[in-house]
Amino acid sequence: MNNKKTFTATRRRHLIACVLALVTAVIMIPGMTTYLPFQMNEQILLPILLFPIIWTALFIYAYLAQKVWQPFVVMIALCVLHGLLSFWALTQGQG
Amino acid sequence: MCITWFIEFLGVNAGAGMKSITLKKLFLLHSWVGIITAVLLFIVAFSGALAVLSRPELKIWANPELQSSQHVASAQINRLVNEYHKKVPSEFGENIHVFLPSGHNFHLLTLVFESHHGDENYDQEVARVFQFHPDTLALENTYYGPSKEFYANKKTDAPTYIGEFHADLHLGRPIGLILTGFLGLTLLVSAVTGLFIHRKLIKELFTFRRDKELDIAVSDAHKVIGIWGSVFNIVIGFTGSFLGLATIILLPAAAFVSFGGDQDKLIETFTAIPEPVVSHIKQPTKIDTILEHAHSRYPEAIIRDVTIMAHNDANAQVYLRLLGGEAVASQLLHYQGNGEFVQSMSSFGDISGVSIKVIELMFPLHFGNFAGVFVKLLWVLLGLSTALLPISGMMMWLTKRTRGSSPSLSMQAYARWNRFIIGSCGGLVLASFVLFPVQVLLNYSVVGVAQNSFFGPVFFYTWLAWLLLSVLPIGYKNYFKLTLLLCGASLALVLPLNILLGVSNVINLNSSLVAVVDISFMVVGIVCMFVALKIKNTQKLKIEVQPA
Repeated sequence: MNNKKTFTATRRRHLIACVLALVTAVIMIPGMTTYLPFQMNEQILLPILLFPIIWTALFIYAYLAQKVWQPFVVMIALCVLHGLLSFWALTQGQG
Repeated sequence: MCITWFIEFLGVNAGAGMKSITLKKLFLLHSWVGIITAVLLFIVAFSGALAVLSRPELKIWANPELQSSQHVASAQINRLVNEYHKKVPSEFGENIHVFLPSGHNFHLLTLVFESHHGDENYDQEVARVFQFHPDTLALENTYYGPSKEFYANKKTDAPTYIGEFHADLHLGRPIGLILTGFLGLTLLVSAVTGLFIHRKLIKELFTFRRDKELDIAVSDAHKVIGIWGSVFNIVIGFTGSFLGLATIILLPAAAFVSFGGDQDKLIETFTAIPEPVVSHIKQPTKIDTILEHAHSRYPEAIIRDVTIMAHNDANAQVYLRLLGGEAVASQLLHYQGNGEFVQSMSSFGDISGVSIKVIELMFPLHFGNFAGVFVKLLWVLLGLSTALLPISGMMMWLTKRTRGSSPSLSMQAYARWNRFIIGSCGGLVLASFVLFPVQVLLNYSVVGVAQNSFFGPVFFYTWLAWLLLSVLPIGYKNYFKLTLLLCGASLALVLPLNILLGVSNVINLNSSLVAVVDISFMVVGIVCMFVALKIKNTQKLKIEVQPA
């Protein structure tokens, strides 16, 4: 099977899958604790529980997407969104 | 409309009409992840399969003290706690831990008197420890010093060593835990992508062409084992990644916002045992009554340890950690010092919600210790099947590259790869099996904690020696046969060695567990040797590839 025909921008996909997917999944954990509509226990534990699923989904998505910019944009957007949510929560003294 | 646009934006061809390009991508991804992680995944899966039986079965087998008795009368425990509490300075009564000789913690009945704030010699958590023979209750060992050092240097044994190797590959924490955690994640990726690329699940579940060439049989075996074990692999991958990464990445990340990055505060919030307020009113803590009540309430469960806070104070609190019985997950029983039962809760404390229930279940699901020894044996078999998956996948990948009009792998390179797999994976199996006869020899010749220094060198030097052998240009079939023979011989040696040197063996039947384990080792050892000899005699197990 010729992977050059199967994948475009293979190196960038490797980078997105191996680095960006992990960074995104980790940043999403504290970010999710700010908006999940549950008690504090659930707000903290649910993102932790979801981590393996989120990472697996992002990792596979990095390779399945038709264009390499698609997973890149999705993951950067998730990072920025959850990073900002964490930042606002910290500056507003929540938690 | 919005959903359609969003799916198009994501750029994934999923759903019922999954395009062939998506399947190709998934197949390649499955291959890449498998090849990169194959050897490490085998190492973790094989050691995990052995670790399932490490506590308590093999730990009892490895420790003659535990073989004689795993039960200490409640009245005796109460007597010892009171007697030795009087012998330690008052600050050491803040926290008393009693580790029962159940095969889950220490090999001796262990009383740990802790002072959280140190004493005149130490400005850190410090402990005075007394360890007793479980049967005779004779004082065997004492310790005074930092608590961390005591727990870090406790006596180990062959099965515990293998269990700890499974957890962090003896690379230390956090590196080892992160590595095994990520292997859990990659197992999850392999299992999920494998399910998608083998869409004809029902047909492939029952397709195993034994009579065909070896590479076809290996391919069928890979699919059959992978599909039948997919649920197990997903569960182990999920729980393994959580157990590996929880304390290193996940908890600090979760604590970042909710607790301003203070992980200790997060753990304190979720801690099961809050500090009691000492009233300074004397009232005997009824440890024996509490233990008897727990035994009668959960007769099938094992009490692993007892924590007594503010011992012999009117506000004393007692916590018992239980494993087994009717509960799937481990549980924590809370009592007042006067023996009044307060509540039964999860080992993480009295936390409500669905997530904590799922986290509680992760431990028994990963260790297979929730429904007796038969489930454990099933977990061992499934764990071994998980270990076979990367090996069979690697064999398929290598075989494929030696075929066609322009093979990308020469026969020499193919042989080198095979020797590397046998040296690394077979070497690990051999190193693990060698530890068992070594344990019998150590029990005869070395006392207590001094045994600890032998397991590492024996394990890693055996493994290294076997791996280095793969550099030599020897026939990989002979190399494989020799590995199998030595593995079998190591296991078969345990029974006669125990007859000669052991306190319990199949002749005196002092411990039925030791007899069963020894016979099991002998049977597995003979099977290994039989298979090894069969390779030589019949030449049926050809690990050869047809040249182009």
